[in-house]
Amino acid sequence: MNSTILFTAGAKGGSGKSTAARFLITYLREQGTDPLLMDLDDENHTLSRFFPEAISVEIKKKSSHDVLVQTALTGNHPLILADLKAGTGREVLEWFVDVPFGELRASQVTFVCLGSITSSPDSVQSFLNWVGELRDQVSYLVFKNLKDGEILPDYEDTQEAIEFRKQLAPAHVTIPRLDEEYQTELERLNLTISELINSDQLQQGLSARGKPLGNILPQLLVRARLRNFQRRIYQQLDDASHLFFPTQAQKGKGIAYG
Amino acid sequence: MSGLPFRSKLAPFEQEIIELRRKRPPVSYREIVQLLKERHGVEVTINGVLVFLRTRRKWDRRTAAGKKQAVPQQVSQVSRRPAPSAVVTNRPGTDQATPGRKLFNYTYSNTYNLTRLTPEEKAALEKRLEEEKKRQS
Repeated sequence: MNSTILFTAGAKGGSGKSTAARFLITYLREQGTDPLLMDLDDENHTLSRFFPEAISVEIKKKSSHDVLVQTALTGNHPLILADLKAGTGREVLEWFVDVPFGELRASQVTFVCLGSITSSPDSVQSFLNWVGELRDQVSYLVFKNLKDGEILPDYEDTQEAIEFRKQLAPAHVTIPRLDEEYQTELERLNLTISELINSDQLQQGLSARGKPLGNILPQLLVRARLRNFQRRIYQQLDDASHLFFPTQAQKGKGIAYG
Repeated sequence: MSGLPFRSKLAPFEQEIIELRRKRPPVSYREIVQLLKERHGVEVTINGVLVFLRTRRKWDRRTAAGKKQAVPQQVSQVSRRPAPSAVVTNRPGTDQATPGRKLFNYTYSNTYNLTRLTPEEKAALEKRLEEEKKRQS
């Protein structure tokens, strides 16, 4: 049994949490792995919108999150990606605090906390709230989403964030700002960049997963820009691949994306 | 923890200092030192303010964690800041830490409580953490 649970730390809404999860999922799939997707955001169901195959978990109470560990312990899924609800607060964090990380590590079940931060101070604050409790019991992958600005002072210049970076050595992925028109269109059509640029049904106006592409996205130059955008993110994910493929050092290095 | 926080001459101005740091953007420690001198005639170094706030935070956390220490009667009301209600008490690194584990000290809070550093303070902190890391390895 060897299972890694990747979970989005209950960040402030709009910090790019699900966007980060989307890139990670398509990256992992292009690496030949198929993570089990669990949508624990029972308000927005963002993950399920983009990936209908995601298992939607209704969160009635704190212990509803037990399904995460139970699924990992079956050993059937080497990678599980769980998207938690935006603004997930203290209650869910308390569930994580109860998790016997050491015992699970002995059963080869490990956790990776996916943080997503923007220039908003709240996004850093809410992420560090989680780090303060989880500490070194999990690994960290922090997505620096530049959609609201390129400077993240609360992550770069605060004592707490510096201590986090130095002591817990998180991996980082920077998501550059994407043209708003493209971003809106991708959101509107529930499309990932991957399914757009990998589509072999462009003439029919359909994505690789059979979704309509609209008028803007299929254009040659738009696709080229989005391909480059995705490549920049995937290259950074390569450097963090030890978190997802602990037994295969730097899997994916040197792959030409898109 | 060295000493009790009520001994500091900055105790009466604790709330004022905290409010200044909570402003967006926060008032720098250098400016706080100047303001204290102008408004109250209190002379203190930048490091003095930093140490004061750090000690206070530790003390608040310890109090919140139920490890209340005997508080002498001469403690003024101003000097005893109750732990904010948003702060949750189980403080990693103090009560729950497993010996030898890498720690990250941070108190859960629903309100902004990060400490912005000046470039000099940032460089000094990074240097200190690097040195600690080297020592540990």
